[in-house]
This record gives sequence, structure tokens and C-alpha cells, in this order.
Amino acid sequence: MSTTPPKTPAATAATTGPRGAAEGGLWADAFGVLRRNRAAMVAAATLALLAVLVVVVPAVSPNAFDRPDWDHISAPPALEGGRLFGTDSLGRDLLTRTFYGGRMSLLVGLVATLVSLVLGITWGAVAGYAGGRVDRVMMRIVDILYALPFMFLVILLMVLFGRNILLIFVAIGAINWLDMARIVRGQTLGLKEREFVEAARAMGVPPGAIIRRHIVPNLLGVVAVYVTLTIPQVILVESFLSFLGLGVQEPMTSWGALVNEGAQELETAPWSLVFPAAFLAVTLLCFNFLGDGLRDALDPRDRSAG
Amino acid sequence: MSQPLLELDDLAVRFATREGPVTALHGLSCTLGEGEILGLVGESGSGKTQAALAILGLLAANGRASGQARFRGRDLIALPPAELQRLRGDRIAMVFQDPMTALNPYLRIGAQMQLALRRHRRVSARAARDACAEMLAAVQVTDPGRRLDMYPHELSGGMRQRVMIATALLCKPDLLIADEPTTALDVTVQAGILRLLAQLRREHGTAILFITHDLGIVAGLCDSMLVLRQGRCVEQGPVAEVLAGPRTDYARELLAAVPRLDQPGPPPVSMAGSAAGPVTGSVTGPVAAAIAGPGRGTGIDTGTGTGTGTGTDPATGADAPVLSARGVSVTFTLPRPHPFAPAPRLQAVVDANLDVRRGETLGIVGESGSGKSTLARAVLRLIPPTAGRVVLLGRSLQGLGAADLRAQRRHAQLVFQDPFAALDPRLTIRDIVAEPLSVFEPSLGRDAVTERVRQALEDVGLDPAAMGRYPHQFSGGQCQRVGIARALVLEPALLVCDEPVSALDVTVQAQVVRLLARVQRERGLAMLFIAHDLAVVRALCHRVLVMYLGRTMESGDAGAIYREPRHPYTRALLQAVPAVDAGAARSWESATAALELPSPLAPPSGCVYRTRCPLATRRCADEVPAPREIAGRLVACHHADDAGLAA
Amino acid sequence: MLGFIVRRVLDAIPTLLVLVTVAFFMIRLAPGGPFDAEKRLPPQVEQNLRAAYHLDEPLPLQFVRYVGNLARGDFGPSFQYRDRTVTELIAIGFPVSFRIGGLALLVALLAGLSLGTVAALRQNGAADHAAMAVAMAGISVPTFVVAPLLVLLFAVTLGWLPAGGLGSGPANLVLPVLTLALPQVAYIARLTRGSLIEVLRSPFIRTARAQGLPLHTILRYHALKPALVPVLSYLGPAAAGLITGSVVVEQIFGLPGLGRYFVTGALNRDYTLVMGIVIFYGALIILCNLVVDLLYGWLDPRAVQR
Ligand code: SF4
Repeated sequence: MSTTPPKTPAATAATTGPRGAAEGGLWADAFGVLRRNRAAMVAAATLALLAVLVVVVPAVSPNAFDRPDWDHISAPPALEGGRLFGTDSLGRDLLTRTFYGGRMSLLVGLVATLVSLVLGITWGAVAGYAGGRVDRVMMRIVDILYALPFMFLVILLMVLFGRNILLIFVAIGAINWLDMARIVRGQTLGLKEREFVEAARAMGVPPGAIIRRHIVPNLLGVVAVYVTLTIPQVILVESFLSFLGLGVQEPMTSWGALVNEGAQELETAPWSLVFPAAFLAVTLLCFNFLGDGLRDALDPRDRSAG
Repeated sequence: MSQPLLELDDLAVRFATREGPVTALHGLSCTLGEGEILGLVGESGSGKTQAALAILGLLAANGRASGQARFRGRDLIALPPAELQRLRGDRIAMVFQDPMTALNPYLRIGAQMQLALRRHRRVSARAARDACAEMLAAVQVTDPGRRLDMYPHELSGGMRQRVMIATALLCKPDLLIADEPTTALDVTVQAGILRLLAQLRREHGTAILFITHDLGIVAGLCDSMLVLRQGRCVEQGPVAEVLAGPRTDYARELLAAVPRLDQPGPPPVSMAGSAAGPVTGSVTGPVAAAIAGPGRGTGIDTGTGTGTGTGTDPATGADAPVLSARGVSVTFTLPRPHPFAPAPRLQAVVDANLDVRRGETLGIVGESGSGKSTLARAVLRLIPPTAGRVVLLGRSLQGLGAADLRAQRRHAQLVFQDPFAALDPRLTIRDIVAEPLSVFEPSLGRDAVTERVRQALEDVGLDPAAMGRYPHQFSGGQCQRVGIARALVLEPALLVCDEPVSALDVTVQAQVVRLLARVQRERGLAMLFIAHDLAVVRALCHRVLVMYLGRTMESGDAGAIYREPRHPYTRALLQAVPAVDAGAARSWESATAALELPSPLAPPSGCVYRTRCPLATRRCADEVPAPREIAGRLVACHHADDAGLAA
Repeated sequence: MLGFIVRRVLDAIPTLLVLVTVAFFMIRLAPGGPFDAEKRLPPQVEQNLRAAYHLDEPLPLQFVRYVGNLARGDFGPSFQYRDRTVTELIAIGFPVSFRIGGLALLVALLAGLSLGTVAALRQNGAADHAAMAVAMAGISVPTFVVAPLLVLLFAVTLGWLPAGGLGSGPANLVLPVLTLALPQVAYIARLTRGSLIEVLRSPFIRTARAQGLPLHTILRYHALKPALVPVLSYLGPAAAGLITGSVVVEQIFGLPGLGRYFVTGALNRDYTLVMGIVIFYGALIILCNLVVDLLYGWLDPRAVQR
């Protein structure tokens, strides 16, 4: 895509501190930078806490996520009965449901990202390293898929084949791997031209070992950033599908589905929108902050200035 | 009374960084009179550029300048930003190092120039355009009217730097600050720019603050000089005085480190492996070396340690070259500009021949685009040659399968230009140096590998204790040593060095050159040394091969060629190199006019050099000159004999 | 230039063909048919209907027939809206979607570019942090959460704007456009900020400063174009985002746009309508990418050579 201008000494001359005071590799350095980024650290801690909560809360909650309680239909948040978030129109406990939905949303985010990760890295690295005709054909395929209105195909898929969770994973992963493949390929192309890869070739290191030892480890930074930014996207897509009523099926739920239900009772029971929506937004926010922080930490430009 | 144009008084620059304040420049004081040229000399990190930026108020956001910089009595440091802005580009102009990035790639040349002019002069767009064209013509840009409508990427590096200078001169400034304006350029192009600056001072009395690392340029261009080291001024005075008798150790070291064309070359190859004593005087390799002289020394003692079967290949007699290439050509096919056009073909290397023997260094010299790096990669089959035969240690590399070719690589190792880029940033020094071992001697145990790495690091003068560190924790010179250690750890027969010192500071460069010379001598290595810097090549190489646009112009014994170049291009190259000696003639003043390099996609017919050659005739356009043997070397020129002897 | 356009149009043919094939077989292979939803039809009638729409033929034949009609620009009749052709339905729905999407894009560009520029110029200042906080929220709070909240605030509580529908005045457009534009504003603002900061650090800006040019001149003549390049490359995907985003917005605000037709069409197995819309959007995305590439060539003189 766009080519970054070559780095000049002038760009980094601003702060010529002592080089690399700390022992350790680039990752250790990056982690040091990340640690100083307060927003990113808070985001990471929040996400960790959230991950624990979505596992624990539905398991220990006195109110099952799918049990209607006809005495408490659309009850506002109250301490009594542990219904801190109130109940929905069927009297189901929203606290349990919110965390249960979080389970689903986070799971979709992780699994679909994993799908796109595996597909994208393999496709991109092979195309990039092989180059030539292989590269052209593989990227042509990506280009074609890129031009498809994928969101529509996913909607179609969901409508036609029922709301299968597995299908959601695959479908959403299938959208995102294209980006991943492009990024990985671009990086691989760049890395392939770097002198240390040529040095390895000149030394007689076989191609497989070059990819393993030199290409993939140097890709990980970009991939890590991309993953943190893909997870929120995936969660968003799932919520979007669930919002349209095409996502997970009752009585299971996800944040998107909860928001959808909440939005319909906005005027009578605002809490049923507010809580799931807040959790969804905070999660997305945290991933985005973490991704931004990671990108800054791994940006070689800022590094050399450090 | 005569007030100096620029007076620096205790000028200091400090940066606020995460690790606390860093002082880039400590109290610099000096004066620059009207029409004078002051050379500000220093290596990287010396603070020379920061001094210039401080004068102009262009420091990065975290930088602060203190002290005074009086321009015609007005202190620039204390001047309100708006007033300083009015001075910049009007009375004081600046030219930056890299003309590739210092011009806006999104704007036409004319637009950029006119913006600069009309900021300071109320002129109509028409008049501004005319003034710009005029100025371009004044700095010898051909066809200025058309250039105004071009984008920077459509011009060559030299042309861009001329555009930069023209833009700086639009308002006829009193002071021009030039920050390494020729460092990114080829020597012949550099000579033209230097000539232009000298002429500028002569004709317009423009004072110049010339920032450089190259003492040769200072010697030829500047009136006075100032040596900076790590932000401190270590020596200043008139150029002649400082160069004739440097008072400080650092200045002496700096001066000694400058490679010279007139220095003696490396000791002759006769006894490879024997510890040749320090060679003084003007001993140069035997002229006969050019034409595969027989009876080369008998010493094949050390190198046999390479060990494996190939080393004792029957074909590898004492005289057989380690590497031999015949008729090597490389042609690249570029993407088509549009679907119906033929794919353009770029002939990067045409019909190159070379031999490198044990204990001998062959230098491949040429400017950018000459194909020298491509040739080196082609003989190693890192780039597939389109034609030609390469024999390494008696085995032809043609027709080898991928695995066999890889097996051959242990005998020929490579050292790269950019010491940082050549080392994988995610591996430790130990793992980097150990990588060749892991490929070729996988049976070696962990401790044995560590021991070999330790040895290799000690050999190149690095502390083995630093093995666990990562490349970014080392300086450029140290990284280059790591690269050399990696290349030597397998004890190859051939070492190919691609511009191994051109990214390094002068003093570091001298150290690395010494290191290379030592390992080459001690191990009786055959070495292929690629460089654009003729002086560095002189220090290391027994024989040279001069390339231009992919063709070999002249090849043979280094001493002979440097003493008496026969090809017009070799002569132009040698003349363009600035000499350090204060008394020496400014050779670049008389250097051949640096005309535009022709496009390698459409090289001139006949002799490719004819568009820049002062001796070119009809015949040169019609006939490709075949290499002929003249005075003990091969020269590809129709008129080499008659060209001869005039300086 | 003309050659470039011609090549791109030729390139689009295989892409569309893939799209048609995938969509066609996906729909046909899905369980259910177009006449399931209606009250049980007498078998004979259904048989006749299927014959009338050629649904009784073998799939490959149907496919060939469909592609053949497509080549003549005929999307066929809608199964659901019996008296309308798909072309007519698109002609009704698209203007609605286009008006909202186009306006949203305009708003997003204006607001995003200004926010990003302000943030870049006041890097790490209060204005920067405020702008980026807004942008972060815009990215993290999903459309379908924003929409109900906007409705609650402006329509229900304040009563300034209609809550939905396609009334006569422009007032009906305000909320949908705002909702749709918000995430794009956020993305564009972040992109603009990043690229402008990068450009302002580049050597040629230092050259311009050394020439004594004031900041506004530097911004306008030297920095604007290069800073726009990454924003431009984002516009292709952004356009796609607006298109898909409109599905939600049309749903929430009850607008009769293409997105709504699509979802109901998919739910009712209206084969031809769904196909028509998918192909239409595919072509639209290809068109957007072509326009972006052309603009790219205009912005970056170096791109023309390729
Ligand atoms: S052949 Fe002619 S043009 Fe070429 S170098 Fe010799 S004299 Fe010059």
C-alpha cells in the first residue's frame, strides 16, 4: 500500500540517548515502553478482570441466565436477590446474562481472530516469501474476495443456514483473514529484502529455516498489534449480527443480542440497554487502547528515539 | 569596523529525553566573516547538525538552545519566532543532506521554489516562475523551464541537490548553511556541487557554513575549520594550519583515518599466510598481477584448515583462482508500464570477468547504478545470472541444485553495507554468529559452538562477554565487526564485502578497514571488495575493476591504475575525489563536468560512457569498445592510448 | 489513464462472476424455498409457480439462465414483491441508502479531517486528548448502541427530531446520518492525526521551515496532500462500511433502504432480490475502489508511474 519514507537520521536525531541501556531483546524493550503507557496497562488489567468475571460470575450466580422469573419482570436494579443489573422482560437476571453474553462475545472474538490469524499468516507469509507467480495468483484471489460485500454474504449465511455458533466463528474469521493476509504479505516482502535475510541466504540457511528463524519472529510485532485491533472488530460484527437477530440463538445470548433486547425496552427499562452496552463499549475501548499502546511500543521509530 | 557575519557565542543545545536531559552541543564559539567558508567537521553524534538547526531555530520540539548566535549583531536565539522566520530562507538559507527526502515528493519543483521565493519577495507568479527558472539555469540545471513542471522523483540525486541549492539561493542570502550536501551523492556529482559552491562564494560573496565529515572537502573548499567531537569543539583555526599541524589527538586521529588515494596499497600477495611485516614506502603489487601472473607464492599453509573435501579438490592448485567468473551478465525484466508495452529490460551487468586468488583482494569500484553489487551477488548466485560461468574452488556453480548450492556457500561468505540491517534484531550476538555453524556443523555441541563464537568475536576485536546482547545495543562499528565475525566463523575461502565501511564514521571506518586487511592477510583469504570510495579501495585492494552502467571500464593492478588511469572514466573518478592535503591542488575543480547519468534502461549506443566522455568521437557511438590490454591492464576504450598522459 | 480504467473494469468481471456464483449456489443450497412462508399452497399451484420461475430446472441450467439474463442487465422478477422486478426495487431502495450513506461520508470527512488536524497540531495538548477521546468512543461504542441513545435524547426526551421514518423534510435524515457517520468520523480523525504528525516530522517539512514559510502555508501547500494519502486509502473500506452500516441504521430508524430489502429478502428466500442486491453492492464496492485509486494517482505523483 503506501510506502513509508525512508528513515533519516534527522528524524531520530532529536533525542540521542544512550543506546539500549537495558539488557534484553526488542520484546523486552517494547514491554518496557508498554508498561509506561498508563492507558494501555489499565486496559490490559480491565480485560484480564473481565475475562475472569465472565467465567466466574455465571457459574456462581444464584440466578441462572436462562431462568425466567415471572415475579420480577423488567425489575430495576436492586440489591435484593443479587439482581444488581435488574431483569429483562422475561424476568431473567441481567447480571448473569450480561456476563454470560460476555462469555459468548469474547469467545467469538478470540476464536474468529484465531481463525483469521492462522489463515492470514499462512497465506500471507507463503505468498510473500514465494513471490513471483505464486504471489500474484494468491493475492489476486485475495483481491477478488476483498471486493465482495462480505457483510452481506455473512448475513446471507446466517439467515440461510441457521444461527450456528460455529458458523459465526468461521464466517467472521473468513472476513478478517483477508486483512491479515495482506498485512503479513506486505511485511514479509519487506523482511525478505532486509539484509539480514539476504545474509542468511548467503550463509546457506535453507528457506524453511529462514522463514522460521528470521521472518516469523520479526512479523510477530505487527501481528500482535493487529490481533488486538481485530478482536474488537470481530466482537462488533458478532454483536451486529445478533442485533439484527441473526446471531446466537435464545436462550443463549451475547452482548449484541442483549443490546438489541435492551434497545426495544429503552423507554421502560433503560437498565436492560445500559449494562450490556456499557460492558460492550468498555471491552472494545480496552482492546483499542491496548492495541494502540502495543503499536506505539513496537514502532521502531519511537524505539530508536528512546 | 568590520562586524563578522555570524558569531556563535557559547552556543549549546540540550534535549529533554525520557532518560533525562542530554546535551548535544556544549558551548560552541566561533565567527564567520562575510564571504567566508567555515567547515564544521565531525562524526555522527558530534552535534554539528544540531548547531546548524539551533542557529535557524529549527531544533526538534524537545530541544533548547542557549548562548548566543549573532547574525549581523542580532542574536538569533533570542529573536522572536516570527522575526526569525522572516530571516530564514531570506538572509540565511539552508541545504540539507539528503536531496531524496528534503524535497516534497508531492509538489512540483516550480511550486516548491515559488513558495519559498514569494514568502520573502512580493512578485507576481509569472515573475517568480521566471526567477526560479533563471536560478535553476544558474546552478547548471539543464532545461530549467521544463524542470519546473517536474516532480522531485523525476530528477536524479545530483539534479535534486542542485534544485535544493537553487531554492536556497533564490533570495540571495548572505549565509548559506550546507549540511553534508554531497554525502548522498556520487563523487563525480559531488565534484560538480562543490565547484558550484566555490563559484557562488566567488561571484556573490555568499558566506557558507559547510557541515561535513569529509576532511578532503574541507581542505579544498573551506577557509577555516572547526572540529567537533561529542558536542565539544576540539580544535579550530584556518584550514591550512589545522591540517598541517593538528594540535589535539582527536584531530590527528581524524586526519590519519582519512583514506588517501596516494597511500601505499596493501602488501603484495606473495606469501599468503606469512605475517608480512608493516609495509612502508610505495610498494605496490606487481603489475603482472593483472594478467594472471604465474608463479604466485607457494604459501597455501593456513587456508587448508577449511577442512572439508572440497578444499582438496584436484582442480584447486596453488594458482587456481578461488573464484573465477567469465562472461557474467545479469538482466532484470521490469514490470510493464502498461499492458501493451514490451516489458523493459535492465542490463545490470554485462559480460563481466573476474578472478580472485588466495590472499588477494579484488576491488570492484563504481558509482551508484554501476552494477557492482549486482555483480557480486550474481557470482555468488544470490541473484541468478542470465549468462556466464562461475567457478568457486574449482567447482562450477552452474547447474547446482538448491541444496548443493547451499553447501557451497560455506566457502563464500558475505559482509554487508548496513551493519544494523544485516543483523536480525531479534537474535543475540551469539546466535547471529552461531547461525552459519548451525547450518554447516549441526553436530557441534552447544559449548563447542559458544567456544567458536567466542573465538570469532575475539578475532574481530569484540569482547566475547557481550555475546548475550542484541544488535541494537551496539554501535555501527561494533555491529559491522559482528557481521565480519559471522562471515569468518566458518573459515571460508572467499569473503565478499559489499560496501562494508560506507555507513561508518571515518575513524571507525579506518578501524574496520584495518581489521579486514588483517584477517585477509592472516588467513590468506580471497576477498572481493565492493566500494564507491576509491581511497578505501586503494588501502585494501591488490587489483581493481572499474564499472560503469554494468560494463567493465578498466581492470588490473591497483597500484598501476591509481598511478596512471587509462580509461577516461577511471580518470574522472580519481580526479573527483577531494584530497586532504591542504597544499594539494583542488583536483575536483578540474574534474570532468558531471553530466547526467544516462538511464540504464536505455544506455547509449557504442561506448556507454560516451555521453560524459571528453574524448568521445563518432567511433565511440558506433562501436562497443572491446577490452584491450594496455600497460598491463584491460581497458575498454577506443582512445585509451592517445588519451594517455595529459593530467 | 484510460488504459488504467479499462483494465480495472476488465479486472472487475472475474470478481463479479465469483460473487454471482458464490451467492447463487449459497442461496439455492440453503434449506427452504421462496414459497415456504406463505400459507400452504396446493401442490399443483406451487408446481406451476416453480415452473414459472424456472425453479424446477436443474441447478446448473438455472445458473446459466441467470447469468445470461444478468449479462443483459436483467435481474429478474422479485419472488416476494410479485408485481415488481428486482431492478425496480433497487431503484426504490438505493436512493434512500445512498442519500444517508453519502451524507454520512461527507460529514465523516469534514468532521474527521478537522478533528484530526486539530489533534495533530496540538499534539499531546488538551485539544488532542479531547479529540482522541471522542474518536476512541466513536470507535468503541457500536452504532446500534448510539442509535437508541440518540433517539432517546433527541426524539423522546427533547422532541427535536423525529425518531424514524422517511418524512418529507431533512429532519428525518439527521439522526441516521449522525449515527452512521460517527464511527467513520472517529477512524478518519485518528488516521488524519497519525499521518499528519508523521508528515510534519518529515525532512521536507523541515526544508519548508528553513525557507521561512509560516505554519499555515506549510500545512496548506506542503503537508495536506501527503497527509491525505492514508485517509484516501481508507475511503474504499469506509464506503463499504457505510453501506453495511446502513443495514442497522435502516433497521433502527425504519427507513425503506436497500439494507432492509436485503434482510427481509434473505429471510423470505427471495432469491432474485437477494442476488440482485448482493451483485449491486459488489459492483458498488468495486466502483468505490476504482474511484479511490484514481484519486490516489491524482494525490501522489509517484503513483502514476505504476
Ligand atoms: S570509447 Fe570513446 S567514449 Fe568510451 S571512454 Fe573511450 S573515448 Fe570515451
